[in-house]
Amino acid sequence: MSALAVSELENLLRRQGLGSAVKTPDPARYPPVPTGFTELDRLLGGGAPRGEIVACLGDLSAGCTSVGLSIAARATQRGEKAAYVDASDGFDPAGAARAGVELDRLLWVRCNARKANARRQAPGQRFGRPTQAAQAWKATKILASSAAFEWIVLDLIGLAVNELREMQRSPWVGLRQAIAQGRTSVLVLASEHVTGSTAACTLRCKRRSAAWRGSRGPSVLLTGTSFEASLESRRRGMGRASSSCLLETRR
Amino acid sequence: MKLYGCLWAADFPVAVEQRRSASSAAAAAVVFSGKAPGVVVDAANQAARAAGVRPGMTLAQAEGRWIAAQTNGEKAPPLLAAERDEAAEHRAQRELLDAALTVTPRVESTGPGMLALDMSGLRDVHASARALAAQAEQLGLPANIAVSPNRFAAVAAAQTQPGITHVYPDEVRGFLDSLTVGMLPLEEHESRTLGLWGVRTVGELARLSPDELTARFGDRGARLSKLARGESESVLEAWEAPRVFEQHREFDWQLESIDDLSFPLADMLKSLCDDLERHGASVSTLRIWLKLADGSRQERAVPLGYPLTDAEALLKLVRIEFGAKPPGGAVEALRLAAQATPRRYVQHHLFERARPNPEKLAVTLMRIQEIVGPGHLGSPAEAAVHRPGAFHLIPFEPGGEERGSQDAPGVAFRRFRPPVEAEVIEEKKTPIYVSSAAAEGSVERCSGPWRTSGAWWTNDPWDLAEWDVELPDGVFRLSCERVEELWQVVGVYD
Repeated sequence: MSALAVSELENLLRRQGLGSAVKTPDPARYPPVPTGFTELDRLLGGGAPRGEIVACLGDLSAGCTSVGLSIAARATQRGEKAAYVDASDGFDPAGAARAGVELDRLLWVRCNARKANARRQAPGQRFGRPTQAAQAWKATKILASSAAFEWIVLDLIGLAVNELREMQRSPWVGLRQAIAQGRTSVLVLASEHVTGSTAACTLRCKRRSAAWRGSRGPSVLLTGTSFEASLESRRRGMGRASSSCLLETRR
Repeated sequence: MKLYGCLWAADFPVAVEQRRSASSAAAAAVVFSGKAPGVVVDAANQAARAAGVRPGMTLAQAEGRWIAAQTNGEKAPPLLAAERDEAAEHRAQRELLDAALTVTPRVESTGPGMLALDMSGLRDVHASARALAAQAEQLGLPANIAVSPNRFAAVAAAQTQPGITHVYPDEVRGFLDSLTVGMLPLEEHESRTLGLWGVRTVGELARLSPDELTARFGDRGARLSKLARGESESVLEAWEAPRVFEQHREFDWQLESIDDLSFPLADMLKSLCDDLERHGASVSTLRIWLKLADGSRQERAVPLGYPLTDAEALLKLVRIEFGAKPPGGAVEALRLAAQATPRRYVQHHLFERARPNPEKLAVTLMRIQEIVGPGHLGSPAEAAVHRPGAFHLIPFEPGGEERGSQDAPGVAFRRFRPPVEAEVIEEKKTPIYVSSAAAEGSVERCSGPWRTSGAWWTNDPWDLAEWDVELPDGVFRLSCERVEELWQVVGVYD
């Protein structure tokens, strides 16, 4: 069946009041929201989808945090609530404020390495669970089921490989069901795939260059960074596959 | 017909002190407050005033006046001086209130030693007044009582007439006319102005045109005129005993698990919330006392981020509390006490985005705090210091309207907590090679140093030079502790 025919069938079901049977979200009900990067919005077909999991993958300094903070900034500026679940405790409040995030509308969940280690070493805990990742997962699940936040940024960058493996085994389908048909979206920032096939779209970021001003000495200043974002996978009807764009940030 | 009563215990602070010290009421006494040398007399009884002692004098002045009265040959009683005890005054006021509540259920605590009573509809008003006077006498706080259909007349009569006084409806105007204007609740400038006009009595004030008084004194002029003419209508603010919201239950069997405990807890919380609902209150802190099977007792407080009246939400929070800190034994008895606070009613803005349900949000935040621990959850706020990376967390209370959007996305920065130690090779005091667990390589470009220092007057000073360096893996920020020459990678631009 062609994509057009599927779309027509879905619209017919919605008109008949059977919208719950439709898997793809109704774009008219919760239209995608701008990410702050015009090129990225174009790549995603209008912006980041509502009620979905979006994955943004890349190494440290690849630009994932810029995407996360830009989405959080636009959301909080619109008056929405955002939560930043910080598994590796790398969030910088001053940097986020400079990136435009309204800090009073942002809930920062700092996963506690000390508590995680204490639990690992507690008697009776025979199998050391990487609890920093587990803390992040549990907090995200609670936030998603509360439906009190429009955006949840789950930042897994900087976690060890074994902790990411643990995250891969988490029940992402349950998380997706918790936010489906709602306004809450989850943006997952990680260095490798953790969401399986539950993400509506997966972006891959890659560092390109840094922009400097001045020639030498104290006059030299970092003025921005640029990175490339490509749509690695997507669900039907969402963005353009196998395309990429160049994103730039300014200081 | 409306009927007001007024109880007035003259020189209340002194009477309370004399009751405490069991000294004779006839003895001259003063109470004072403040610290030397600014000790000031707050109140003096009749005997002390007869010797010339007045409130507002310093204690030394009062004693001097008393000695002078003695040396002048006047019959001055010994002056007793005691420090004012406001807690004892509160207790005495409460005793008077309890006594008045045996006469009528509507009593207002007007001020120290003064009560206003609603005596309308009492079968024998005089007998009630006598009974109240006898109770006050028994408490060691002799009081005057006056009854009148006009509240101001009742108050003035209690303050000026000893014993029990009745001011009947046809006597009100005549009684008020005879009072000095000082009996009215005047402000200093009003008192001065009336003195300049030659108004000495309430009757003289009553004869002035209400419109003229309003023109000169505003709304207060109209109110004073009504008071003077005996036409004022006042609302009695009936005193209510502070409510205690508690639930207590002893079990016939021992409850060993949280699930077992949940059934009686749900029932107790429901009763507690219903009681709070009836009184327009909500819980700000829930205190729990447990009696365990081994005889030990436990007390714990469940602080709530938002005042709640939802029993289900409270049950979830209590379960979270018990999940985090299990009782450690079977429970035999349970007591819950709610610290009540008036309910908050929030008026939402028509054009503002709907806020999350506060009760649901409080439960959500508490559940997450249980996972990450206290101090790891909230809204980030930049600290008011120049130390790089300084911040603090404040309670998450979103609100406000939409704010303007930024044009271009800003550069994001990630911090390494704790910072990663690094070895740095410098050339002409500029980093040219970095080696650390976070990043390694030759510096392609760099900017800096930005020097900051502070808190040199504390045990935790800082003196840093920071650099932005571009390495093969990205742009990192280096920090050099200038005193110990300690290099660290503090973060990365991502």
